[in-house]
Amino acid sequence: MAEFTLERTPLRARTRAALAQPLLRQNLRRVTDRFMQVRAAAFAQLADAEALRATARALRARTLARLPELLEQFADRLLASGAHVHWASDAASARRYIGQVAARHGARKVVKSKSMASEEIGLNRYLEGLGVQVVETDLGEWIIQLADEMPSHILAPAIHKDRRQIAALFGQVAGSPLPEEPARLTAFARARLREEFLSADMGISGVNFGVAASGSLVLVTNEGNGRLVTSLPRVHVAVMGMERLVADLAELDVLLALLARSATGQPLSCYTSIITGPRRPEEADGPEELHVVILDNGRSALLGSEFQEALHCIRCGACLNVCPVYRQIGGHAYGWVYSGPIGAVLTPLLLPASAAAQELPSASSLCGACWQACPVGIPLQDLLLALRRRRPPEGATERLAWRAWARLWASPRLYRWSLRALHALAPLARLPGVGRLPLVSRWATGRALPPLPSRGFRDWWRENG
Amino acid sequence: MTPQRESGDRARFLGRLRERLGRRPAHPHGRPVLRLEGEPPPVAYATPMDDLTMAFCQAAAQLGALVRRTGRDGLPEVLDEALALAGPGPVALTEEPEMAGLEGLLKTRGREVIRPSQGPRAVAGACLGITGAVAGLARTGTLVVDSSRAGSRTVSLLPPVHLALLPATALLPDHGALLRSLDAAALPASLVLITGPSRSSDIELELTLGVHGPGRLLVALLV
Repeated sequence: MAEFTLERTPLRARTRAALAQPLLRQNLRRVTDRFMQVRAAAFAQLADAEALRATARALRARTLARLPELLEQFADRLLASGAHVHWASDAASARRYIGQVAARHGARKVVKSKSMASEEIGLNRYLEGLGVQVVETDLGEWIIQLADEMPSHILAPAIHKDRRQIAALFGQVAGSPLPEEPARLTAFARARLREEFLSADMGISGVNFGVAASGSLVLVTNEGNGRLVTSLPRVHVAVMGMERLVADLAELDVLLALLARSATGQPLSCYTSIITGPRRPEEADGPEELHVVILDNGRSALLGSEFQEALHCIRCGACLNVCPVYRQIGGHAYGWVYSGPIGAVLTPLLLPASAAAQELPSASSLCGACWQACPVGIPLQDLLLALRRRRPPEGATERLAWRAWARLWASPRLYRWSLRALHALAPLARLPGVGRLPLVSRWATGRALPPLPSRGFRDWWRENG
Repeated sequence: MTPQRESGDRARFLGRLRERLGRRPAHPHGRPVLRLEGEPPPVAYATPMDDLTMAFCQAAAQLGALVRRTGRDGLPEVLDEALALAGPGPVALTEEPEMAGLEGLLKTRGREVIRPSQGPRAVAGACLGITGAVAGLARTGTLVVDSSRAGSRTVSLLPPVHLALLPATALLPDHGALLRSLDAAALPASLVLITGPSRSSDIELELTLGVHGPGRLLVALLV
């Protein structure tokens, strides 16, 4: 299966590769524009969207402050409902546990509904290594699984592919050519995946929200694959990031009202499942076993830090759609599971040992559109800035240059002198080749120097102020 | 011996969280966080909801569902409409009490009846699935199906056409009213909020219905 490019390809190369794909860029513009448009319409249905965002932010903050107590309650309710609970401190523990469940049931085939947490722990590759076949069942996820690629948008994973390419992929599965029509291609996927659902031994899903008061798992999908994954196979494994919790059903009211609105501009997604425990005696179908894997995997390091609020995220994707950087480069260029502004925040925090991950906060214009779009009001641009601040400058020369600049401008006299010197030297910057000098080129590439006025502001102010 | 259903180290997992949370208050960035005591207030919407029936019909129709307001005596007519949509084939019914009369109607129409106990493959072979609904959400045109009452999760999911029988008395304004009325200690194994037919826009953003769930949804709103 496809691998994350974060460690293999530098950020600049990843962005260049994305910018060189006209279809990706054209479709990104379409999908992000569409999502922003429908989101605005859906928010207009709320009496006071800003007040609701403030409430949601307060709820998320309150949940994290009480996270140990709520998780304890959640786990106790899950156990009481007959579910199994696994506390996974890291990715390896989660993978191993799920592998053991699969082995105990002799599982040969697993159907999956979209789960970013499972992508984060590299679950598909691990299970395939154990000889278990893994089938992604979200239509977009299936397309990119067949193409051996990564999602380009969290809600529209295959948006970088056109119908011709998808027909070719499906044609290989079918063994005969298929018409290049979305409705016909969707019908083919339905029939094909239906057989996978009915013959799968195990279903793996993510979790949109866990409800502490009832031990319920809330899953939201539009296609219905989430329902099939959690209804047909005899074992259901749910992978949940430990922060995806609400205290009770009243809190769920608020967050559900915001989730689908922010994600796809729907008041509610097609299917919102509230699952409490495995199949009961009065039911003829549903899984006999339910396993819930509660995943830390680096999240706890954010608690009690200035980055705690990154754990407020409910994974709606709204910050991607509005981000001027994401809108150009799409999800692939971020190189890991999470993309867009929230990806540029979460990736360096969840992968602290990766130098490549620490570069991502630079892929932002700090415009703040992400914060304005975020349904739970995460101050993403502040977090991005804080992440940049903690990143050490590259090399001794750069460190020295910044320090010298700080010293220079700390003195009013030297500050004035430096401005005058800059004014005198400015024409030099226009000489050919200057922009390609080492160090200078990092700032100069792709930028044009604005025209300088004949004299500085301070001189002008002395005469006219 | 009862199998061990909890694994991993709960105490260490939660201990780490407690230790981290004890370090310092967490919101140095952005505006101050709103103080909130107790339950959050219900979500307020821009438009009022006076007539639940009217609102439900409008919202469901907008999603592409067909809503028929009818008395019990009009049910055969709605059933015939659903059968015409579904084409030939067997019909899956849940175990709910309101299915009693339907079984006879289907038999007189020469239709084989599938029950959930026959298994998902049999249910998947039905051309139509008929379920009750424990609630309807007017603002969003949503049906609420309870797996414990229905005895099944799949009748509303596997067949290409879904007919739901919804008593008008079960209409609520919105999902908040539903969630806030539920008893957290007495939830069914699966409660599903169904808002329109299954949909996907994953291929070139073109909307297609019925990708995994039913592509056609018919609601008999029983008045």
